[in-house]
Amino acid sequence: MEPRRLRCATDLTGAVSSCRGAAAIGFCTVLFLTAPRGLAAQETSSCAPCHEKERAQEEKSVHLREGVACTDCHGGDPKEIDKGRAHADRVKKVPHTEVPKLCGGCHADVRRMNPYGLPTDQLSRYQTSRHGEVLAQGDTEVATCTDCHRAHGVLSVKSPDSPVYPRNVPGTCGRCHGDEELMKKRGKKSTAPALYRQSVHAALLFDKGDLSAPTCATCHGNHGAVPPGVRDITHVCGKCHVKEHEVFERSPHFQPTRQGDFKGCVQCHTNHKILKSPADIRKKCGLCHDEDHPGPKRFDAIFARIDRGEAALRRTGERLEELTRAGFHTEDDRVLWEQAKTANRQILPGQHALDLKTVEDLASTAEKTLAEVDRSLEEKEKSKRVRRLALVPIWGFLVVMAGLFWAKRKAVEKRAGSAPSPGDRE
Amino acid sequence: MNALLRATERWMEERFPVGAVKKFVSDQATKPLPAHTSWFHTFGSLAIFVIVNQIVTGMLLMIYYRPMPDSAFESVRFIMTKASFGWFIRGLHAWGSKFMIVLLLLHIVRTFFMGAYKKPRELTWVVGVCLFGIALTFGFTGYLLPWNQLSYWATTIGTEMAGALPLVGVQFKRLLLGGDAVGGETLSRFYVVHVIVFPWLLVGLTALHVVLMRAQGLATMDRVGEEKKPKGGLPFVPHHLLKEGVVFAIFLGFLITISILWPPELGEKANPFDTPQAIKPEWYWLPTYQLLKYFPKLLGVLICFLPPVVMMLWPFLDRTRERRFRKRPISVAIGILTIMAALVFGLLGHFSETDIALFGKKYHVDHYGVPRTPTETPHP
Amino acid sequence: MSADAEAPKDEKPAAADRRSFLDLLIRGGLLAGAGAMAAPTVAYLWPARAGGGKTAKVSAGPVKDFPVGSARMVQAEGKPIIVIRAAEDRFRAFSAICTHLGCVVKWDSGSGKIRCPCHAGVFGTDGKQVSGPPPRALSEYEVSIVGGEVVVTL
Repeated sequence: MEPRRLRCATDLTGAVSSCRGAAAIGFCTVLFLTAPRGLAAQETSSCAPCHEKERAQEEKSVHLREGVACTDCHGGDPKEIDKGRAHADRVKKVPHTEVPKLCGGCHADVRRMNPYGLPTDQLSRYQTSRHGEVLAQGDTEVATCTDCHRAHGVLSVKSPDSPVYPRNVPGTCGRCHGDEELMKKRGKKSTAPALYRQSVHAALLFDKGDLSAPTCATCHGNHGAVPPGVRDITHVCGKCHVKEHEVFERSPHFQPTRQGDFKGCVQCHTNHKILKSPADIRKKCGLCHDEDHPGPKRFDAIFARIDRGEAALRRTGERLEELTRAGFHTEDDRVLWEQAKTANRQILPGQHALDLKTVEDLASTAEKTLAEVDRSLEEKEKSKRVRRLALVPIWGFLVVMAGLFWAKRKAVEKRAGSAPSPGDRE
Repeated sequence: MNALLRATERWMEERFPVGAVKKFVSDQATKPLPAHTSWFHTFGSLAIFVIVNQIVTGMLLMIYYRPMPDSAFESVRFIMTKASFGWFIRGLHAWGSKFMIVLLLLHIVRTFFMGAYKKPRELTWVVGVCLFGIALTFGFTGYLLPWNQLSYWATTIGTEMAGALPLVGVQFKRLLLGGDAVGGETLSRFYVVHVIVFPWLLVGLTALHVVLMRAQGLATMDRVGEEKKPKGGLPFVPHHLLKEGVVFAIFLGFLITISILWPPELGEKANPFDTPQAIKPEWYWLPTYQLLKYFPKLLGVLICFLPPVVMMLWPFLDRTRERRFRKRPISVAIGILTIMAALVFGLLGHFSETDIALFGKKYHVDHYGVPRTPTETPHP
Repeated sequence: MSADAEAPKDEKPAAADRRSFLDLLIRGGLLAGAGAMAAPTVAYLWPARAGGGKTAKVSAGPVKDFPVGSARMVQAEGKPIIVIRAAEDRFRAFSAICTHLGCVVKWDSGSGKIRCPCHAGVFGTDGKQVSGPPPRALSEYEVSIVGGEVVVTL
C-alpha cells in the first residue's frame, strides 16, 4: 500500500512540473473565462483547471456547497496561479490512515457542526468501532470515512445518489464484506450481504421501497460499527420489534439469553437472512431440543392455533367480499372485521413468550369480533337465499301466466273457426 | 237529465271524437297478419318491452343517481346497498341493456332471412338499423355513469377509437370528452345524452318504425311486387298479442332470474392514475375491438365503418325479388358469413390477453388472439 | 300450468263460460303482476335509512363531551377515523388505519400519542410518525365545529 501511495505522490509532482510552462498562458485564459460567471469564492481557486476529474466529482458535494475548499484537506495555496508556488505548501494526497482524524478535524468540532445540527461523535464512535480498532492495529486497508462517504463528492444521507442513502447501504458495506478474498484474509465470512438480500428487511427496503427498513447500519451501527454481542441481540432487534422484545422476556429462552447460552432472536431467525416462515423457524428447534421435548410440541400447538385464527379471518373476509359484490351494505361489518384483523395481527408478536395462553387470549378476542361479523353476515346471506327463493314463486306465476295466454290463444283460434293459420309454427 | 247527458256527449264527441279514435285503434289492432306470422315475429315487440323496462328502471335510477365525478360512484353504491330493491332495479336496467342488443340482433336476423326488408319496406329497415346503432351507443354512454374503474377505462378506450377517425377524429374526441381526457365534463355529457337525447330519439324512431310497419303491413313471403293481401290471417289483437304474452312472460322470468342471481357488480371507484390490465369493452363491441387490432388505426376504423354502412344500404344493394331464403343463396350466404365473422372476432376479442386451458395444456392468448404456450412468450 | 290442466276439463259445458273464466284469470294475473312490480318500486322510492348518496360529513359528537387530550373513534364508509382533541380549540382527525400494515391505531392518553398495537408504531398528534415501522404519516381529515358538534369532512 505504502509504496503505491508514494508513487502517486511523485506522479503528482511530475505532472505539476510539466504543467508549469504552459501555465502562464493557459491560466490567464481559463481565469478570464471562469471568473465573470460570478461563482462562489472557492470556485476561483486555482486547483480546478488542472484537477478537472476531482472538480467534476465535487460538483454536487455538500462540502463544495458549504464552502469547504480543496485546500482545506489537501493544503496548498488556492490564490496562486503558478503550479509550483500553488503546490509549495505541502500539497498531498491524504494517507488513508489519516482520513478519520482529518475529517474529525471539522466533524468532531461541536462549534462547527452546531449550525448543521450534525452529531460530532462520529470520530470517537469510529475509534471504538471494529473498523477503527483494526486501523489502530495497523490494517491500512480497513474502511475509513471515505470508503463509505467517498472522498470527493460527499453527499447528504438524504440524497438518493449517496452511498449511505438507506437503499445504497447494503451495496456500500457489501463492497468489502461481500468480497470473498478480502474477508478470507481476515478470517471472516463474506456471506452476509447475500443473505441480507434474501431477508424480509431487504424485501421491505428494495421491493416496497420502505426507507425506514433496516439496513446493515441499523443493527451494526454506522460509525461505531460492531457486530452485536449475544446478550445485546434482543436489544438490537427490540429497537424496532418493541412488542416482540417485551414479550420475549416472558419466554423460557430469556434466561439462557441473559446467560449468553442462547443467541436471542438470532438463534431461531438467524442473523442476516432473518427467517420469517414458521416452518423454517420450526426446524431450528431441533438444534437444541429432541422432538419429544414439550417445547417443539408447544410451538406446533401455538401455530396450529394461529393458523386456525387466520383461516377464520380469511373465510369471513371472503364472505364479506362476496356479499359486498352481491350488493349488500357491509361497511359496518368491514370495520368490525378490520378490528378482528388488528387483534389477530397482535398474535404473531405475542407468541414470542411461547405461552399458549397468551396466544389463546388474543386469538379468542379476534374470534369474538369475527363471530359478531359472522352473525351479521349470516343474516345477509339469509336474505340472499330469500332473494333466490323468491325466484320460485316468480317463475310459478310467470309460467301460469304464459299458460293462460296460451290457453286463451287456443280458444281464440278455435273461435276463428274454419280458417286456422297453417303456418303458425313455421 | 237525459237530455243534458246527451248534450254533453255530443259536445265531447265533437271535440274529442272517441268513436273515431276507437275505430282507428280497433282497425289497426284487428288488421289481419299474414299467415306465416310466427314466434320469430315476437322479437321486435319484446324489444319494445325492454325499451319500456329501460325507461322505467332508468327513471328510478335517476332518482338517486348523481352525475358528478366525486359522487357518482357513491350514489350508485347507495342504490346498490341502501335503497330497498335498488340492486334489483339496477340489475334490471343493466341486464336489460344487454338483452336489448340480443333481441335486436335476433330481430335483424329474422328480418334478413325472411327478406322482409325488400321493396317497399327499405326505409323501415334503414330506420331499424339506426335504432340498432342508437342501442349500441346507448350502452356505451350508460357504461360510464357508475364511474368505476371499468367504466372509466372502457370509455377512455372507446373515445380513443373515435379519435382515430380521419380528419375530424381529434376534434370529435374532444367534443365527446369535453376536454382531453375522461373527467367530470365527460360524465355530464354522457349523462345528458343517455337520459335525454337518446331516449327521445329512440322512442321517436321506434314510433316511426312501428308506424311504417303498420302502414305497409307485415311482409308476406311472396315475391317482390306480387304480394297478396293476407287472407285468412289472424288479427294482431288478440291472437298475436297473446302469443307475445307467452314469450313475454318467459322472457321476464329470465331477466328477473339473471338480475337476482348475478346483480351487476360495482367494482372500484375510477382512478385515473391506475390503468387496469386488459380492459375490454362490452361483449357487443368485442368484434369491432378485435378487428381494430389487426389494422393500422385509420384503415381499421374505415374497415369497422364498412359493415354498418353496407348494412344500412343493404335493401338498395340487394334488389332481387325473391323472399324465401332457399331461393336467394347469395344474400343468405353473405348473411351467414357476416354472423360467423362477428362470432369469430368476438371470441378472439374475448379470449385475447387471457390464459386458457385447452386439452389439459395451458396457453396464453396474445393481443391478436393467437394462443401461445407460455415458453413462446416470455412474460415479465 | 293450472290453466293447461283446466282447459280440457271444462270443454263440455258452455264455451262462453270457460272463456269468461279464462279472461277473469288473465285479468287477475295482469293486475297481480302490476301490483307485484309496483311494490318494490314504492319501497325503492321510500326514503332510505341514511338518506342521500354520499355521507360527506360524519359527526364525532358534541364538543362538551370531548375532554382535551382525549380521542374518539368514528367510522364512515367502512373506514375507522380517530378524532383527537389536542388542545382546547384544536381538533384533528386521522384515518385510524396504520400506514405500516393496516392495523387500527389507538389513542394513548398517557403519552398523548397515537399508538398502533401491532408493531408499536407511534404517531404524534399531528399524525406524523414518531417512532416504529410506519413509513408514512396518517392521512388527515378536515374537522370543523358546527353548532357545538365536532364534524369530520371526508
